[in-house]
Amino acid sequence: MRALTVALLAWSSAFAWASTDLVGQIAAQARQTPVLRADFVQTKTMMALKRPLISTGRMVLSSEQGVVWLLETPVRVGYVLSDQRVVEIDVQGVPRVRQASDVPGLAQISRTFQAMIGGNLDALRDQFDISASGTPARWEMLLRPRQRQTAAFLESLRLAGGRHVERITIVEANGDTTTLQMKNVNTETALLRDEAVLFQAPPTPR
Amino acid sequence: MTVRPTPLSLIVRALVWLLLASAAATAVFIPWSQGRLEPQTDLLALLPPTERDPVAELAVERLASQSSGRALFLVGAGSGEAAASAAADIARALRGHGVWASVHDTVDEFDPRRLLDFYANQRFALMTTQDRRALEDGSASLAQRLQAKLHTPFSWSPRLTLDQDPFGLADAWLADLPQGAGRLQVRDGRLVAEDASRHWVLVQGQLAASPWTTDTQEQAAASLSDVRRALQATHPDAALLHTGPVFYAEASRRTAEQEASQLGAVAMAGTLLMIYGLFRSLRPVALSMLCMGFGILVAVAVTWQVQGQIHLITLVFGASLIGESVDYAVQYFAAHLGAGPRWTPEGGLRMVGSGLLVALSTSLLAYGALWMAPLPALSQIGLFAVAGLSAACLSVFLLLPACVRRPAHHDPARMIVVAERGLQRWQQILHRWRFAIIGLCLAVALPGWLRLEGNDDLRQLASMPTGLVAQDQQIQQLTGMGNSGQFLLVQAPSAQEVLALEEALAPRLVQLQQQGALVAHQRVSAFVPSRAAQQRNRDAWAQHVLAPGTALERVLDDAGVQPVVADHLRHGWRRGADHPLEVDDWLQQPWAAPLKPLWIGATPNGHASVVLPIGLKDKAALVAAVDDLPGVQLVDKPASAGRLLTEARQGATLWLAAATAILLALLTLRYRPARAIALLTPALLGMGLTLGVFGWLGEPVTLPVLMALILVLGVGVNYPIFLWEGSGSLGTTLLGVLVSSATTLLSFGLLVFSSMPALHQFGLTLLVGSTVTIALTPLGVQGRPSKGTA
Repeated sequence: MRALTVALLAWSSAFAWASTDLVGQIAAQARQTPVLRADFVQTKTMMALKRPLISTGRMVLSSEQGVVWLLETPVRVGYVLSDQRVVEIDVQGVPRVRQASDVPGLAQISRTFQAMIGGNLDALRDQFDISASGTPARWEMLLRPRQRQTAAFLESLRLAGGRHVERITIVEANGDTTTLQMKNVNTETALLRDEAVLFQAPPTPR
Repeated sequence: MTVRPTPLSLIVRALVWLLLASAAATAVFIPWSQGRLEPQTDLLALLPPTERDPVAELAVERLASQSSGRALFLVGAGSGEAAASAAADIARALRGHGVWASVHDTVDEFDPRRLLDFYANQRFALMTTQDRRALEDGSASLAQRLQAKLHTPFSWSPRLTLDQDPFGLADAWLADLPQGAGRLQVRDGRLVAEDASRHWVLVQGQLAASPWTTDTQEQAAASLSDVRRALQATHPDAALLHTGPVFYAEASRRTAEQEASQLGAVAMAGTLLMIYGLFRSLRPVALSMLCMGFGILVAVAVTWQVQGQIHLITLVFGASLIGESVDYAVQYFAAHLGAGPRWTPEGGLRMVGSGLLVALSTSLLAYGALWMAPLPALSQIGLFAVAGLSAACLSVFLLLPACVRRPAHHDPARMIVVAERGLQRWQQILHRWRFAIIGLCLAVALPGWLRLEGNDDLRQLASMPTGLVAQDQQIQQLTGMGNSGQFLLVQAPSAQEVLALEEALAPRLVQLQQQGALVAHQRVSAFVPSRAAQQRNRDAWAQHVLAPGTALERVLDDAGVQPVVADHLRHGWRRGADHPLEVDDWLQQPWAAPLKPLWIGATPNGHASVVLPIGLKDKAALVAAVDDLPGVQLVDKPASAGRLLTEARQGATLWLAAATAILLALLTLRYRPARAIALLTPALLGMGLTLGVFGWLGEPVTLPVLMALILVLGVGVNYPIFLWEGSGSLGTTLLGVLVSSATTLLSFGLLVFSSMPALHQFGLTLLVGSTVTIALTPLGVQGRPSKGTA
């Protein structure tokens, strides 16, 4: 839930810089990426679940427009997250729009998120203490929330990767863990047309 | 010339005057020294209750008082960071001033857990209407909802845990809660907006004390200049907009006080100069000042005692009363001048006394009519004038005889001769051409009458500082925050029925939103469903999720959820039966604070709440949508006030006719009917021509104009009466009348320069009306028997 949003932030904020040079270098790598595509495998371990929950899907990250998150198995739901709105596409394919002005937290999340992409890393650093180890080719980062409110549900974020982020581990305060494994990561310069369409304002309100 | 020792009766009278003056002075001084004697700057106090339903009036007051202590500051800069830093500087500067109880440049990062903690126990009572219907008709798939909850990568609205709400039913209801803040967005903990050229950040301030006191207003204004200075130093190219009732009140008060003192100073200087010019002695000047001062002091004391407040409009008007209050004293001095060596104080009183009383009674009649006006603003002016003029006249009877014992030395012979000759010539001209003149007046006036229009805008009663209004509009555009003054009042016998009525209203409002007639709305029932709705939702849970035949356990098991979750659900459902969600619990939550004024609660008729439309574009559609819902009415204070003013204006027209008739009746008590009509003629012509001039100038006929016409009548008839009654030489009486009319014209003429539209119209009416009346006065005194010469 909330944790995963933060994960998304963290994922692109893998390029957030801390006081170490390493993070700065990782950040520099990221700035050269206008569009990023990847498949993911998400593994959730929750106390209420008998066994870990596995889902797969793909995502597209555009530094200008936002992110498209498409879950494929075991259920098809989609999310399009941009500066002004969030579109939730449910299992029947019906889109549901929420404007940023209606939802207090939304713009904040998008913004911080895109600030990462744009190279404005101060916002993330405001929210997390970041420590990194390794080299720009092979690194790991640990992010701990600074704000009490965030720390109430999120314990930490761990990122690992090289040229791009490859693994994100979210540890929630209640012990639930989510791991995202990125595969087939591609960088592009432009969105595909049907991806760009997803960012357009949907035709009808609910 | 021997002067007899002052008779005891004169001394006693003068002492009585002194006593009254001290009493009045004390009555004014005590509240003034306690800081209570302050002009009333709350514009709503200028109006009487406008709503027929007292609950509606109460609702208006509640909503108004909630926002009256608030001020908004919007700071704009080229970039978001600069704006944020400027906002922080502004907030810091403001907090340094004790006049602000709280200043917010950041919003609490919305803590969803507070919301969840409040609603968690009642999660089985919370469900959207669509979801409940889907459960009832079987179209909801619990398995799919569970999958969606398990796999959703992120959520921006507060969500309950899997254990609490595996099917996301309460989650969906929570996500629907209206949380928006108009056109502002939350960014990095601040409320921001953007336009073409700038990033804006909002800073909100809440005053520690009432915005209607002078102290608070001055301190708020001082803090604003401090902020501007600070901003200039750190962010020279940032822009600052501000708005808030306290700033409007401060500007109105400052303007009114300035006008009152400027007009008052000019009126007093002009009046005293004219008096000196005529009487060539300082004694009349000094005594006139005493009479004036006494009049105004008594007026303030009486108004304060009777009404407990003094409006700004009364303050400015009071300054113009100076010229009129001095009329009575001037008549006395004129008689003194004319009597020469044969003067005695008592004799003087005998000469002018009856004239003064007739003149006073006509003025009291006219101002008394104003006192009866339905608008507190205008009625207070009437009370003020009645008290002030009575007191000024009383001074003539009490104080002046003791102080004006010696006969006059100044021989006004030359002036008198000039005046008398001038009057005679003017009288001849008027007499010869009287029918032509009357005809001309009518001819000029009639076309003007045809072009007259009414205007019942509430804004007449106050001066709207244009700079503030412009900033206010800009702020409204950027933030979407602003008072439209309209809301829906929902009334029902019990609190639950009010909630249920709101829930019945909601789908209609949603439909209006889809049609574009409305942007959004806020209602209490969105946060606290009625008990009936809560019960329906709980029943849906019981029958379609928790009942034995629904395969709850199988669905959970298939998804890999622990079986104990089913037990937790049943247990939680049972526990929720104890204590349904109540409005009183919600009212105590800190995050509910902005919406608290919407819940009016218990009223004499039952219970009531307010549903607030936001961004209303089509009022007629809203009225039509609630038409058939008993207990729901649209309250529109500005429109009601406009209607009230229209009714008052129409009533005033009748008053005018009635006042004319009463005045005529009053005059026939003393004079023959023909003479009474003649005395009234100049005033009537004055009124007619004034209306004509208004028509020609395109000035609207408003309530103040009509009330002023009553004054033209009442005051305008004084001068023919003075001339007619004046014993002693016609000449000195005439000079006295000339000075009186000149001072009155000066005072009323000065009102034309007021920035309050109502006073401007008042002044214009009186100026034109009085000028015509005075010029035509000789028409009313044709055939006056001469009563001796100088």
